[in-house]
Amino acid sequence: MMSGIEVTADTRVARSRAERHLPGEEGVWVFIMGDMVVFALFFAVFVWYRGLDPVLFSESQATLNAGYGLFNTCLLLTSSWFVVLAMNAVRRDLDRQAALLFVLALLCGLGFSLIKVLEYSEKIAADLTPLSNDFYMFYYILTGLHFVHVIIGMVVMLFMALLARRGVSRSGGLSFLEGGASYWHMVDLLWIVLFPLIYLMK
Amino acid sequence: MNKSAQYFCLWSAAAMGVFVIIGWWLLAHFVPPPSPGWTAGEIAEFYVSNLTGIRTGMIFMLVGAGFFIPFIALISSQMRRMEHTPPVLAYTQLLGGSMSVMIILIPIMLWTTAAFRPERNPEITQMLNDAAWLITAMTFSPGIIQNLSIGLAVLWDRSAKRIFPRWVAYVNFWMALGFLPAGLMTYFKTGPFAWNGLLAFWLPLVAFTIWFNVMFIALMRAIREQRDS
Amino acid sequence: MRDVVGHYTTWIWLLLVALTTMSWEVGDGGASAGIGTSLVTPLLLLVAFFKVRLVGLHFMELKTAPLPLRILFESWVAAVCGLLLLIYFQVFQVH
Repeated sequence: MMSGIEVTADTRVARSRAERHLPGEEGVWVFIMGDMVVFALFFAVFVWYRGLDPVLFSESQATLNAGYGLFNTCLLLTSSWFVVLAMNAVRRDLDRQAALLFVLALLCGLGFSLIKVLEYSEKIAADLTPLSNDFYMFYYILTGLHFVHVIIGMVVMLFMALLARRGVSRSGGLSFLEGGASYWHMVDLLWIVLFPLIYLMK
Repeated sequence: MNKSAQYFCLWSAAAMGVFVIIGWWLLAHFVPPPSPGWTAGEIAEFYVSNLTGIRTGMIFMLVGAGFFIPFIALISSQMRRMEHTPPVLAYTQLLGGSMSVMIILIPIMLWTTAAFRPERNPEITQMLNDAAWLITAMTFSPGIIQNLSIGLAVLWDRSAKRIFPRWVAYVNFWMALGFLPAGLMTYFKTGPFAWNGLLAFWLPLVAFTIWFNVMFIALMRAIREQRDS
Repeated sequence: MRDVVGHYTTWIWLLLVALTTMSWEVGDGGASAGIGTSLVTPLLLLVAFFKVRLVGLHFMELKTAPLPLRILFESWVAAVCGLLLLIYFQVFQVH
């Protein structure tokens, strides 16, 4: 190896740390922040309605299994971590590792989905539907809307894995990966709020 | 492409806004919507107490709805200019958008019918009112398809000078999201997911307003920057 | 592989999982004995939004993002956390 100054992957990573860098294109952040505002509205309405009938909400909450919620939260946290590691691998041109990590993140999402389906079917079997009471209305609609986001995210993640495996060009491909990663972190972030709101708050 | 024709299409959309605000809100007092939880008697009373306002407001709404049609056509014609974007997306927008107009026209005539013979059985008036509000506020699918086709077209645009900035695509995707809760109003007569609820009515309305303004400005820029052929 | 996993975000992830488990203990398990019942929910909310901030700053890389976006994100965190707490304490309630 020649001595002297070489631009290595680490230097590139270090450089992108020093300058301010927008992950993904700006439009993605229009969508992400807009989505977060919509969910914030849903959160606020939920807490408001809870205040109108805290006893009903507490009693209904008790029929939920917070263990499912805990496990799901950890699954999403882990999947987000995998995505961060994957992006690191992409920036170090470790294509196959990146693709593998994206797939792992997707599998976490799949696990989340399975538990969600399991949870819904348990509740429906116990005759607890969105029309049972206000708590259950919010439970199904809030987690359902989030679930739709998870499913979309998993589809995006699949494309990200395929793109990473092919090797990403510096320009457009990296931007798509960053955007997709940011979207997935948002999905994680929203569930971090949903978990205590629905399963834990007293 | 003839620029003045396009500008006409654009400003007709502004006319739509004015006529709808006058007709729907100021004259008919339909915003905020009458609650689905009201009894038939209360609905009949609502119509009787504002008969002329509703009847005239609906005429204004008809005019406003008509003015929306050129706007939709304009969006599609700009979409056709995008290179690498399949023309079928422009046609999808055209269809989705024109269905959205129809979705307003039918309720306008149902409201008119309800106000036409106010002395009839209140339950019939209530049914007409129910149908009008459900058709107007719940039919989210054509709008969502319209939004998705615009969004995809913008993302796939490879023109040397982009017709719309890329973030316009994401505003369209966000509006599609904002319309999803509207589908829930079939289950509820009160609460945030009823047709007068915060999440099933107001959220889609705000989303539409933001979308409309963004598209208006984006179209204005696109027309202005267009080279005369 | 090691310098991919040994990244500092691995510590953030561990912290997030730990905070989540602790919240679950307090909210669902028996750990709430030491905390006054009226403080449990505000505590859970504050911890949740602290976690949100960690994800935003370190996972979403907002720490190194242009300032306007970071400010927008931080504002969302503060505003939503604040709003939920205010609603919870029934500040807006009219009886």
